Amino acid sequence: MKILVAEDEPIMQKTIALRLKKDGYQVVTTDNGREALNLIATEAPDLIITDIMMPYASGLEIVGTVKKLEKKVPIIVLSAMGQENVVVEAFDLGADDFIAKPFSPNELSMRVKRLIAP
Amino acid sequence: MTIFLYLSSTAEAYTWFLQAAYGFIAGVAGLLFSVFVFRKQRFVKQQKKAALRLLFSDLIAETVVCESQEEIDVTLQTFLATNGKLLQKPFARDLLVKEIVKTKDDISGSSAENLRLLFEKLNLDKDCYQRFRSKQWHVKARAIQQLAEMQQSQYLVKIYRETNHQNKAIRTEAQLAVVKLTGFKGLRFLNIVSHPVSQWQQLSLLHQLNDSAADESNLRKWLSSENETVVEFALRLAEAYQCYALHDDVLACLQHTSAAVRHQALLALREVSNDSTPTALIHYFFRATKQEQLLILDLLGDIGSADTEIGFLETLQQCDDEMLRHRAGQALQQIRPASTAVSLLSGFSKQAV
Repeated sequence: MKILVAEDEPIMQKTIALRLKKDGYQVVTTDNGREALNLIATEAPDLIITDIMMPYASGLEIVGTVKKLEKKVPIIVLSAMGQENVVVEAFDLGADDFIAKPFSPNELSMRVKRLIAP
Repeated sequence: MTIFLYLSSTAEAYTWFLQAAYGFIAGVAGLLFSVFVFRKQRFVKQQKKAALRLLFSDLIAETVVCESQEEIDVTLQTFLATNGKLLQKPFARDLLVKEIVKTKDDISGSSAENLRLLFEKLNLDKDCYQRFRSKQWHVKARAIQQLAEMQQSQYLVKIYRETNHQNKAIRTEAQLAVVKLTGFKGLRFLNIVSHPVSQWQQLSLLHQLNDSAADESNLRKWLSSENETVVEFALRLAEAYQCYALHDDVLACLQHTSAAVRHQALLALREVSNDSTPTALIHYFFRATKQEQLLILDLLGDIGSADTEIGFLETLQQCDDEMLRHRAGQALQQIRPASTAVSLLSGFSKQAV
């Protein structure tokens, strides 16, 4: 199972990737939205975890593009506190789940397991 | 002779001009060289910082996902085996503190606890305490923030002493820190604070309190504080925690000389009201300012129900002030939605006349 992690904060990106690798997933990472869109096409991930605030293309644009392509890839959106409106918008666009910062990597791991089996 | 003098003076002027030109060129070259050296040093420093960030991000990420203390120890030992000397440099240690604190903001649960352990195992709390003792206010304020973020309760007493510091940044960071470390109990600095607690600080403190239980006896004391911003904040707390037992104390704040306190008291009354509140508000109405009167009418719409309030609002429907008439109509509509159409119509007909 391959997971794409799109997060521009290096420590958070590494943390999420490490946690998922420990769970047995193959992880592809990127720190910007434009590259994430390219990786979705080339790597065909089974799940996408994306931060909302990303350079070049936001998490919302990623959700919108994936769902427009009618790809059945589950998407988890990472949001900061106070971004409730954006989260609602992400759900409207087709996001499958969201997790608000601060979050526990273990919780993220459980949500991933709920959406895909390793 | 004249020609000789002319030639010698021209030669002197020429020499002087040459010397000035050389001096100018040397000056410009020196300036350009210093700019180059400065930019080079800054570039090297930035490169060094980026390399350190990369290195620390590995350590932090690996620590966050550790599942036991033993695993943290192994991760740390592996890191120190290759980078131990690096962590003796103050610049590197300062950067590591910043990176850990920044990450802790985004992480919760046992992973956040892992970061606290890493912070303590590297004695970074001692570094922060050194900065806490600094004479520079911004260094001290940042150290307080970092100690609180990393839950370093052993420094609580020292931080508490700074909650009434004359410097605003130090004072506000210390106040937030004690609340972060001890919850509602940390608010006891309100007993001693003599400086104003700004509106922003009040909201930050409320945000920091989260689910801590309120202590009503302290709140009662703060409601009669000499520091009017403390009274204002206590009213915010009474509102947020819905302290019904403090109803009479909140009501008494309507007699306060500060307009901000009276306004906050009215807002708090919405949350702590009882059967006697509408009558008390009606009594106060005629002594209130226009803004307060409008707020009271909104409140009566929310909490009023008896005939007394309805009668009062109906009377206001006959007054000359259009805004009061309108708000009274709205309040009536809230209290008895079905039967207010007639009252509203009478208000509009008066306006038409």
